[in-house]
Amino acid sequence: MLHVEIRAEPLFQLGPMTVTNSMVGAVLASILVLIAAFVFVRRATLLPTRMQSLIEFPIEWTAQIVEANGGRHWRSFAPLIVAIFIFVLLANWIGLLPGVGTIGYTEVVEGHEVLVPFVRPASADLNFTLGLALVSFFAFIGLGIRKGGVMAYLKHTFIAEPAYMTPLMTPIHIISELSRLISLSFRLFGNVFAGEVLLATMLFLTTSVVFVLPLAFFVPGIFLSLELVFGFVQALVFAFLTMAYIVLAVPEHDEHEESEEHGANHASTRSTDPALGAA
Amino acid sequence: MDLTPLAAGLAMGLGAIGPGIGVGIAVNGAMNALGRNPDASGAIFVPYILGIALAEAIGIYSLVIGLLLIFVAQ
Amino acid sequence: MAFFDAFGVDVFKLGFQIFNFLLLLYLLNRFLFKPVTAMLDERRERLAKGLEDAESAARDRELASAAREETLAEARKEAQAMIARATKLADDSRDEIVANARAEAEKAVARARDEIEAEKERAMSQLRSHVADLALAAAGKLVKSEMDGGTQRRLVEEFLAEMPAEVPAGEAKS
Repeated sequence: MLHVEIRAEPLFQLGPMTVTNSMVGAVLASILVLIAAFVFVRRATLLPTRMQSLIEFPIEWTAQIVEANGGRHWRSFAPLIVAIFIFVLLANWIGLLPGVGTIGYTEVVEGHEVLVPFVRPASADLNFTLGLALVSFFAFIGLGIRKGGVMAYLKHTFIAEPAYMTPLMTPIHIISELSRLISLSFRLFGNVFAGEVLLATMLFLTTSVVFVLPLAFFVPGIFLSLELVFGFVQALVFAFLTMAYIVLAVPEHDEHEESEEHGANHASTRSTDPALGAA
Repeated sequence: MDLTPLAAGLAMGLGAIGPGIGVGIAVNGAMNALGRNPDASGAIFVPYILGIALAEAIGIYSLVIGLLLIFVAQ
Repeated sequence: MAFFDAFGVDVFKLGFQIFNFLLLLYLLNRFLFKPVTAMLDERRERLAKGLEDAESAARDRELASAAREETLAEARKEAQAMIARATKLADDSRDEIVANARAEAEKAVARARDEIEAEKERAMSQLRSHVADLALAAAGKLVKSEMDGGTQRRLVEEFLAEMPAEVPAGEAKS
């Protein structure tokens, strides 16, 4: 029987903390990221080798997009965005490795045997995604306050443009800020968890229900490659949404509008000058 | 008779309609833009991904509701 | 929070995940992003510098070629001028030489003419004395003793003195 576990299963107790298999997945993902980083840094040369390009590419590509879309202060939060992207990407893809989710110990729950895998992709656990969403939440609030000041941030966030709309708009603002937290965490969790369930279902259907060897080989393979794409896209979405929230929270409209006004003034005076001369 | 699985299925299935249409519209717009101006692919990419993510989030909400119905409401 | 309990969320696990990510972020920032950013900046700088170098080299080359061109033109002009000067000098000296030669030749001709004149004069006077002797002898033979030598000689001398001093060249020759 197909068994789907929405919670991360506990593996063992370490002091007051229960170590779950998604924690193992998260640690594994961070270790992989760090290994890649160390390999990269040690071998780093100015003329990239193929291996170096492979590691460098996601960093540089994400950094370029952050640079293009991040506005004035992009350098202050680019490491966060890139780190989120790489970490979530690896956390998603760990679930696609053979053995993850299938190697574990069996446990008897409610009368039938249940496999508890040693490693669970970290992003299929709400703890992980909620943690990242909290980091991103506090990052955009913190950066908004640091770049604009507390009062400017509060005014920017809670006071509506026509002041009399404030009582109506402020609750909406608060809810929308909180809904970012919920949507960020549940989007990633839902996608990866649903992907895991989908893979398990396909494997279950093609092996346990009807067993035809080519079917059992190719159908999960197709969904595996789909999950590869989805894992990438979801990592991208998480990173870019964090970036978009930060860009929205960091005030830089003031200078822009001002400079645009200045430009407009210049243009208008310049255009009216000949008219005045003619008159 | 326990109707919870039916409720979960309906939540997911009906909840997938809107995001499906929304993502379709987003992709349509992006492809139109790309067809008109292929050089703008870099500028389109991020808003496109973000828009799809926002549309898809609604589908994820219904997935969460379905999961809640199956795992919690019993 | 039954909602979060359903998903297995508790403070410890959440805290562990946040801690894990922040640690990763710190380590990455420390060991990856700073070197990588520095390296990417350096690469970009080097690329820009390389482009700039190439540009400046091209500019230098252009300048050098312009200078070479200029030098060449100058040299050509100078050579032209030198040739012209030399030609002029040669012309001048040729003229001078020719004039000198002409003058020399004229001088030589004049000297020769003088000599000829003198020779002619001498020959003339010799001839005159010979003719006088001859005429005397002939006259002596003709008239024999009618006259003595002194009178005849005087007569002939008188006759000869009446003759024009300048004898035409054709007559003198014959």
